[in-house]
Amino acid sequence: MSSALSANERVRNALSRALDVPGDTISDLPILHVTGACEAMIENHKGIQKFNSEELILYSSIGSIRITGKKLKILNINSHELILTGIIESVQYAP
Amino acid sequence: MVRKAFSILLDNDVTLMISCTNIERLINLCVAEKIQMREIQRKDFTTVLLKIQSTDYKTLRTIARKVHARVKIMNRAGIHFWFAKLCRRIFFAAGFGIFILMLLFLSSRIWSIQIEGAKRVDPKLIIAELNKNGLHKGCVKSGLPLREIEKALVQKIDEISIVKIDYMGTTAIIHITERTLPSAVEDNITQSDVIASKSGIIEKLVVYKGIPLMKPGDYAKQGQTIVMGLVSDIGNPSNIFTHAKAAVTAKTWYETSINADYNYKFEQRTGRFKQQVYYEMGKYKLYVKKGNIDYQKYDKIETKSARESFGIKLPIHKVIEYYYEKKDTVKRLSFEEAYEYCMKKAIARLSRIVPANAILRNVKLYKKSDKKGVTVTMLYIMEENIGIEKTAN
Repeated sequence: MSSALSANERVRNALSRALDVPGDTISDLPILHVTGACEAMIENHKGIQKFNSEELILYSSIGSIRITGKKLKILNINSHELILTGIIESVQYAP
Repeated sequence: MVRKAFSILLDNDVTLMISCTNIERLINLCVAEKIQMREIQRKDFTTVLLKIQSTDYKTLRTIARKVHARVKIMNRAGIHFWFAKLCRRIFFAAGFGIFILMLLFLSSRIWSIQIEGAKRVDPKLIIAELNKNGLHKGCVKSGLPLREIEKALVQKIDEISIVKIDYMGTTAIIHITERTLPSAVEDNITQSDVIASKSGIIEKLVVYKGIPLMKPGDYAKQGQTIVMGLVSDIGNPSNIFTHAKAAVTAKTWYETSINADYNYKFEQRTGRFKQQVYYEMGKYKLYVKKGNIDYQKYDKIETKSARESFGIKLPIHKVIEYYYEKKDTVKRLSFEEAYEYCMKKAIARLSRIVPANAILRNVKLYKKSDKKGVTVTMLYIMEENIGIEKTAN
């Protein structure tokens, strides 16, 4: 995955390691919190590519994130955070 | 549950149904414009349901126009929507306001008084006392000094031991606990005699205490002493005064004399009458129906009723007056008719003066007739108790 990172991202990662701070504070990488199989919180997304009740595809700095499931519903969305509810079956990254 | 109800009331959410070929683009544009979207649900390929704040609606409409989307408001929740709707309907709002005011007005007053536990005390007396102290139908509940009223009631009415006033809605419930009063002590100490309350011939005399001065068969005049309040022994010169007691049954009589002319004059109604209706407020009168009363003689019958509004007596009375015309009439009576008239009159007059506890023993009748008319004298011979106690001076 590191090969897929841009020069900008590589600099940010190096800086976070050097300063000993968590990577997400400097870098723009997406963060996923999945609670059981019923709720997922995605930070640092770049917008929605596709959404329906069985699939959500998001843009991110590392490519697309594909979440599949059933009865999917976006509970809340803003520029940096998205909360998804429903029955989550899989999470996939696509460069 | 309550929290949910409040959130429904205070939230200003708008539920929208958006139809568009590129829903994802619309959502991304809304996110870029910092529109807070919640509960986004895809219904079908082109339709999505979502909730936004009402303040963001205009921005969303602008974006929707850009992406050629159709926006339909499905639901509006929140008090300000309701208020805005109300502002457009002035008369409804005014009516609602009046309704609330009426509700507050009516529920803040006492409209009925209920008395519980009063067996011997007259409820009218309690109501009158409550009215004096400010608790009456139509008075405001909050300003009443209930403890003071309870105290006043106990002080004024001897038979009442404890009073508790409670409110149940617009009803004031007066809980009364009555006092058990001691029975009246019989006066056996004060010296008194038994005297005749009216004249009569004594038939039976039972002396419980004292010395009898008369015996059966004697004629007792009104005020004459029958039994003296004195006790003495034979050979004992000293006298002891006492409270005389005796039952004195005597024969009494009541007499009346009635005269009837053969030319009997009386006033008779002609059958014509007139009516007047008016409202009276103090010295002012507002006539609803005014009749010109030109009868020389008439019977006047007046009915007066106080007006009430919401249980409050208004200082307005409705008065209905009936004027029945009368005329002097002379009727020639036969001897039998005149005699019957005298009898009826005599019986009516005697029944008014004879005491209720007296027993009728005999009736004597004397009739006299001349050219002018008939005179009937009726005598009732009665049996009654004529002995009354009189404190000796």
